[in-house]
Amino acid sequence: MSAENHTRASSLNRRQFLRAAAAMGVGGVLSGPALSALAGEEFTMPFANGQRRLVTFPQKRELILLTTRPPQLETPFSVFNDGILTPNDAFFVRYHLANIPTSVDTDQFRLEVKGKVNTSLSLSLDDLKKGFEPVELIAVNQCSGNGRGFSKPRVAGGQLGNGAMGNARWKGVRLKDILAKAGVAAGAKQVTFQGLDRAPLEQMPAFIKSLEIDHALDGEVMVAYQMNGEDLPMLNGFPIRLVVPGHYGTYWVKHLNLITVVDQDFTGFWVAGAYRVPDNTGACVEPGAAPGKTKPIARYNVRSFITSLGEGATVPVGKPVSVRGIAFDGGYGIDSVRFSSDGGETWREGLLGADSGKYSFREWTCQFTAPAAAKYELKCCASNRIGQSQPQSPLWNPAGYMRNVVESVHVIAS
Amino acid sequence: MKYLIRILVQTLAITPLLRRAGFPACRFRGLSSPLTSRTPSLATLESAATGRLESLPYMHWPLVLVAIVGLVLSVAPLRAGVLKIELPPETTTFKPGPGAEIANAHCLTCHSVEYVPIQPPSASAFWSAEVKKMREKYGAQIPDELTTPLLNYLVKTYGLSTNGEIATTSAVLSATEPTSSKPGSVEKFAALYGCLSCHKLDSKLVGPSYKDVAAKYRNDPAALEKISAQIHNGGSGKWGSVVMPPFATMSDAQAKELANWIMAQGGTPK
Repeated sequence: MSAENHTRASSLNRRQFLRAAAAMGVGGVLSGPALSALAGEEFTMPFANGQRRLVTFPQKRELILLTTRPPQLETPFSVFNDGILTPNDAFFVRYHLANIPTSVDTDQFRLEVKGKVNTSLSLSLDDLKKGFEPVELIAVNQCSGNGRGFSKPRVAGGQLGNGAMGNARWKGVRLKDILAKAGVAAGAKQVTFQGLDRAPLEQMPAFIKSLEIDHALDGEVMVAYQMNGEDLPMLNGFPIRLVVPGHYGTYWVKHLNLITVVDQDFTGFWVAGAYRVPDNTGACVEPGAAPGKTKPIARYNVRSFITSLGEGATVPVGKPVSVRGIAFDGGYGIDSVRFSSDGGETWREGLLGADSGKYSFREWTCQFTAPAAAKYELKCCASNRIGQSQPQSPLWNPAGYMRNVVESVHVIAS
Repeated sequence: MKYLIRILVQTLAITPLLRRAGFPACRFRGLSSPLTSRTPSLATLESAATGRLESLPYMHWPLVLVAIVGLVLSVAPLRAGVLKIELPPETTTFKPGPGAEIANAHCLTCHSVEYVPIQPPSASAFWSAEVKKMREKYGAQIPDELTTPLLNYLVKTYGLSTNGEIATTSAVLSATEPTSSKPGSVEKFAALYGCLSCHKLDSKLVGPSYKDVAAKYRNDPAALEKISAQIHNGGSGKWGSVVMPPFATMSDAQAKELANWIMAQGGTPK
């Protein structure tokens, strides 16, 4: 069996086969040396202790390994230049609890809806797909700590670059419709969400998140069973996850199987003790200071990136280059992206690409002609329809959340 | 056998990868969507595998073969609609040093090693806050007396050393050398080494239950040697992809006694 596989596999080149084998989980069939060849390319993020390597997890292409258990995988930034939708196999992965589901039987799977409802529900996937109106929405999912590795001073936590974000076309059912079917009872205040992932220790807080009842009923929050036209990858929440447009990924509960309507403020650790930001407009404090009064993290602030040129890229002298990038915000919609090729001294208006909805990445482009052989600091700065923009210097908070400084890319014209 | 089933199931999960590697999307007859992640019913696969392959021009033949071989040899029924993945093994281990056993015992219950070395270079206050957070917020069961040695290990090995006192882990642990004469002493010892952070007596936690370990080796004359070796060397693959770290500083006598105690959890042989 093993020999036969190898013979048949010879039509693939060795590396492709090893990658395929890794995705298939057939490591046990391969010899030791073959397995070691799977160790992906190593590289360094631009911060101390930034050594990382690329790894292949099931249903995923090579992604940046942050942690193995529970899996935390970051999207290589070049993916964001391939299009405004992030492919499922490149979409970032972030879990908190080590006991994640590795096998889900879709016939047995049920989404329970209970608590302060008139009728408790136990919905199969078929019930969800056939019993409710399907809806689709393109929306960004971004980790609260996206870019944490760049915090100055550095802070504890997952030391991410800017690849803990992705934009997908989600298809599913309005949470509002599910709650309507159950019938929200009088006195309902919040709704809590839990998935199949579990803590290895009973003393560790269960991963449960909550939304205010009005938010849960806004008609935009979705229980999604598809992502970019396919089933969700296991590591992105198969078979269903919560989609909370414009809000940080912490609320997008994966493998969602329990929705509970409650009549008081949920006080679980992951809302009351974590994912909190300083309670002020910038969600920031003096670098190094304690947070003071805090509030739950909520909507994305405005962000924009150059995606067509990486740090240290070369550009020709005297020839126009179309610089391309993406921008997004918490759901008001991007209305402008400005571009600078002199480190922010002067700015020009970029051209916005097609509008895929107020929760989506928005492409932008701007022509840049390097006048002379020199080093250029390129920047972009977006603003949204309610006038929010990006700070020129980074705002800081102790958890390293909500980074949205105007980012720079240095290029060399030669 | 186990691998065959896994291959069969996971063959279906690599389509995007093959597509990226230059292969067209493969579709099994009778399925309406590209096979990116779902396991079709056994019946669907059988019809694909027995005689209609010529009608599948885009099928990738090595994978078809894998699927057929898997099916022929498969005895476990494959249910419709089961998505199963196998996570890759953990490859990073804690750097050796005084106190590494404590990190192995208590940090790895909940997370892999990378959580530590990716943190920014930091002095004692940072690591102290981390250990406190793990104990108080995330429920890490680190005994009081091991907190300082663990902190010292983290600071010395991964932080910016403050040249503070260096752990005397082995002294802490050897003071609890088990003595069979005292009932419950092995449990206490196992708890101190952190064995019980990952193993329960009768149900799976991070690693297998001791009852299952005892059952596996019940008829193996080399059981004690094998279990002692596992304790000393660690390893993975016998029970899943999670790595058991090595407890190299445990004495032979301690490891043997622990192995004995583990075997005793299996009850009387049938």
